[in-house]
Amino acid sequence: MTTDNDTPGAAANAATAAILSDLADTRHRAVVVDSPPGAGKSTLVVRAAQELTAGGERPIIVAQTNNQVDDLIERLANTHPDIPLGRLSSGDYSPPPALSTLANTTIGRTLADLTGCQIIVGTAAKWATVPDTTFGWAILDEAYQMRSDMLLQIVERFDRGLFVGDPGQLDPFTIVGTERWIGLPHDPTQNGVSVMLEHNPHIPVHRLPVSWRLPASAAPTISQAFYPFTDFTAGTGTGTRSLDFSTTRFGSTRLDETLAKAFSTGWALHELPRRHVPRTDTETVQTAADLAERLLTRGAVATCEHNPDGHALSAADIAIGVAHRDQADLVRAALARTGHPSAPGVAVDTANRLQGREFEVVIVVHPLSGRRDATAFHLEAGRLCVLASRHRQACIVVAREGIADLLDTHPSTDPVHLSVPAKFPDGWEANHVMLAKLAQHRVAA
Amino acid sequence: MSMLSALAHVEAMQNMTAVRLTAFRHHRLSDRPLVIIPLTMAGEAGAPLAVMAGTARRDMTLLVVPQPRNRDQRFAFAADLGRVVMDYIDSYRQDRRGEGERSQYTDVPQIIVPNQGGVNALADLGRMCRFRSTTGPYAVPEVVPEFGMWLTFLVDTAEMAGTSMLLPLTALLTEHWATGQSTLEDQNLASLMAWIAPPRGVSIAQALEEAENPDVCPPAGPSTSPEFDNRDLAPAIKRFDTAHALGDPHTLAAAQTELTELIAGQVKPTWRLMWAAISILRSIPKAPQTARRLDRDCRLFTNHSDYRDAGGLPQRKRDTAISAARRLSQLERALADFEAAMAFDDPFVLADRRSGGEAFTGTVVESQPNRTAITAKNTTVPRPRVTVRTSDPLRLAAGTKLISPTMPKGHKAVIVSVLPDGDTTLVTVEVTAGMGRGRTPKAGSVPDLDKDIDYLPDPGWRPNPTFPDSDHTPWTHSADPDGPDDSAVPENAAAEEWGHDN
Repeated sequence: MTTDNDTPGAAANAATAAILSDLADTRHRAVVVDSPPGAGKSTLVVRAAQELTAGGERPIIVAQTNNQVDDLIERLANTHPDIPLGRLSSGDYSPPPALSTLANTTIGRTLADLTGCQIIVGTAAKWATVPDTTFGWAILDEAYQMRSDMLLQIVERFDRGLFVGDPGQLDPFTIVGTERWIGLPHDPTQNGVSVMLEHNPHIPVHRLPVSWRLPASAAPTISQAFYPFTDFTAGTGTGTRSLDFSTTRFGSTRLDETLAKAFSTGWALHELPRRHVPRTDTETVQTAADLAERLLTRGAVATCEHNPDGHALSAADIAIGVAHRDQADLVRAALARTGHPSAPGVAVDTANRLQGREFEVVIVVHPLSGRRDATAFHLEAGRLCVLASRHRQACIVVAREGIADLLDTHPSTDPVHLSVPAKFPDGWEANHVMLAKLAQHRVAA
Repeated sequence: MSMLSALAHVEAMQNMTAVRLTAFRHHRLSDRPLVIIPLTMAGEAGAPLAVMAGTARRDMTLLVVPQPRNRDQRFAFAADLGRVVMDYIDSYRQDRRGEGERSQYTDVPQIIVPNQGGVNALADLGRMCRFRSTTGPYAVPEVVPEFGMWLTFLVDTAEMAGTSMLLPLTALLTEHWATGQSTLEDQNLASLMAWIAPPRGVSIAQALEEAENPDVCPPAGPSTSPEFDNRDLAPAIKRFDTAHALGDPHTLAAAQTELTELIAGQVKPTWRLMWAAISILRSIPKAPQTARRLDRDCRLFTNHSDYRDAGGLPQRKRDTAISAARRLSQLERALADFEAAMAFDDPFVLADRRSGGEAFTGTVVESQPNRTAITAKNTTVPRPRVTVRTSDPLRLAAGTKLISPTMPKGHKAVIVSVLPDGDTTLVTVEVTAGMGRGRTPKAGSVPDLDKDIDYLPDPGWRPNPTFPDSDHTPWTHSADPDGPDDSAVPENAAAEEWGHDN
C-alpha cells in the first residue's frame, strides 16, 4: 500500500480505479466487487454505468427488488441527467411520485418500449422474462442476494457482468427442504456470485475498503465480527460525527442513561433482567419503542460531514430492527401506544427488509434475547450484521441478560458436508464478538 | 410451527389424546396401494436386509437377503422385489385416455412405506439398481435396472409437495393429527399410532410404553433393533454362512427358513399396524382438490412411462446446473400450490394461516357493488369494492391478490387498503374476477353486506421459468473448458468397480 492510500478517500479512489480498469480489460468475463455496509456500492454502480456508457456500451442493470430499482433510477437520473434511462417493469407496477417526474426516464414493459435508452434497469425477475437479446455488459446489484437459479435465467442476456454486493448480509434461501444439491458446485439454492466464482476461479474479486456509513465507533467492530478476513475502515474520523440532546434531561429514567451512552460512544446495550420469554415479549418490545419515543421527545441534533452545523433528528432518521415479522407488528403497535405524534414515522422492520437501508440511529431487538435455544436462524451472522450496520451515528441493542450463556450452551451444530466450504464468519463467533463489544456499553435496566 | 398447531400439540399432551389438525385428508389414498416395509443391515451402507410387500393385508410377500454383504444375493433380491413392484406398476400402464399429446394414464400406482427412512432406503435401492448392466461382466436380470429407474422416479416425485405416488405413512398421519410428542418421536409409527388409535382396552400411556419396547413393537425399519441384531440376527446369518460354505442343501434350507421366520417376526407387527393406519386414514374425507393433484400425478406418471417405453437412459447421479434449477422451481411451485390448496379446502388449515396473519376472515361492513373502472383497452368493467372488518392479526399488504373459499368458483380480489380501526382491521378489497362477462356483476359474485367471508392470498399462475438449453450450460454455471474437468465433484476421483464377493 502506498502512502497515497493512507486517507480513507484515497484508498476508496484507488479501489474504484482498479475496478474500472478491470472493467475496461476485455480478458475478464466478470468482475466481482465485495462491499461492506455503506461502502458506496450504489455510487460505484452509478459510476460504472456512466463509464460503460461513455465507452459506447449500452449496459443493463439488474437489481433484486422494485424498491432497489427505483432508488437506482433516481440516483442515476440525478447524477447523469443527460443519459436516457429505461425502467423495465411488469404490467402492474406503478412508479413512485419521485420517479414519474424524472425527464430522462422511460418506463416500459418490454425492451421495444425502451429502444432509445442508454441504460436499462430492471429487477432480476423481470429480466428473466426478456427473450433473445444480449447486451454487452450487465451490472448486477445486491448480487449476493440473488439465487444461482435466478442468475441462470438471466445470464444469457449479457456477455460480461459486474457483480456488486455485500457478502456479509443474509443469504438467499428456499422453503423447500431438500438435501439433494448439497455440495454441488452449482447448487441452485446458493447465491449466484459463489456459484459463478466456483466455476470461474480467475475472476478478479475487488472489495471496497471504506464504509462511509458506519461511524468510526462501529466500523472496527463490524469489520472484526462479520468481515474477519477483509478489513475495512470508517470513512470519517472520530470527531466528525456526534449526537447531542436538544433538551436537558427531565425526570430520571433508565432510557436516558442508555441514550446518553449511545450518544457518547456510538453503542449501547440496554439490558433487561434475565428471563426466558417468547419472542413477542411485551417488555422487550415496549422498551424498544419507548427508547425511540424518548429520543424523539428529548430531541437530538446530529452533526456529521454532510451537516456540519447539525441536523435535528426526526422519526425518519430512526429505525427499529427485529428478527421476526410478528415482532415488527408488535413494535409498531407499541410505538403507537407511546402517544408521540411522530412515533409512527419510525421505520420498524425485519433484518431482511432493512437490508440496504440507512438511518442515523438504529434500535435493535437482539435476535437471541430471552431465548432458550440458539437456532441456526437466530445465529445467522448475516441477520445480526444487517441489524448492527444500518446506522450512521449510534446503535442501541435491547436484549435480555444471558445471551452469552445461551451461546455457550448452544455451540453451532450444523452438519458438515463434503465439498461445502466452511462459511465465514461463523454466526456463533460473530455473536460473541458483538456481545464482547456491547458488554463495554452495557446499561442495566 | 404456527400458533394453532403448537396449541394443538399442547392440548394433545394435556388431554393425552391425539388432536385433529385438518378437517380433510389432503393426500389421495389409492384403493389398492402397494405397502412396502424395507429393512436394511446395520453398519453397511445401502445393504438391503429384507422387504415385506403387498397390496392387501392378507397378501404379502417377504423377501430376505440371507447374507446382505453378498452382492450376488443382493441383486437376486432386487430382481425378486423388482418383479413384484414392476407387476404392480405395469398394472397401471394399461388404461389410457385422451388423444395425442394429452393422452395419459387414468390412474397411478401408490407405494406406501412406514416412514421417511423407508423412502430413503428405496432411494438407495433405486440408485444401486438403475445403473447396472444386463450384459457383460456382473450382469443382472433385465428387471433390475428398470426397477431402479422406476424407484428413482417415485422417490423424486415424493419430494414434490402434494404428490401421492410414494408416501411415508407417518407423514400422512402427522398431517392430520397432532400428538403430545416431539416431531422426532412422531417418526416412530408405533408410538404415533399409540396416540391416534391405541389397542382396544389399553390407555394411550400404556400403549406408548409398549411402543417403545422393541420386543413388543419392533422398529418399523429401515434399521432393525440393535438387540434383535445382536441376539438373533447375527447368529442366524452366521449359521447361514456356515451352511453355505458346507454346501449341504438341507442345512442351507433350514438356515434360510430360520432367517426368514426371524425377520417375519420383526416385520409383521409393523405390517398389521400399517394396514390399521391405512384403514383409519380412509375414514377421513378427502379434500376436494385431491382430484386435481391426481391429474398432475397422472401426467408425471405418463411422462415417465413414455420415457421408459422409449428406452430412456437412467436418471443422473447428480442434477446438472440447469436440471437442478428447473427442479427447484418445480418444487417451490408445488409447495406453494399445495399449501394454498390446503388452506382453501380446509377450514382448520385456514384458521392456522389466519393465526399467522396470512389470511383473514371478517364481515362485510361496506359494499359498492356497482363500481366500475375503465381498463387500458378503454372498456368499462365492473370493479366492485367491499370493506371487510376483521379481528385477525392481518399482515397482508395492499396489492395482495386474494382468493376466497366462501365465494363462488373463479372469485378473485385484490387488497386496496388495510386500515387499523381500534382492535379490528378494515380491509378494502376490489373484486377483479368471477363476475361473469356483463357490465354488471352476476348475482352472488360480489360479497353482500353483513356476509362473513374468508380471504387468502392467491398463489396465482406463474409462467414456467425459462432456463438455457440443457446442452448449453452458461459460463457462470460450468467450469472453464480449459480448466480441470469435474474436479469439483470429489467422488468422481474415487470411483470403484463392483465385484463379486467370494
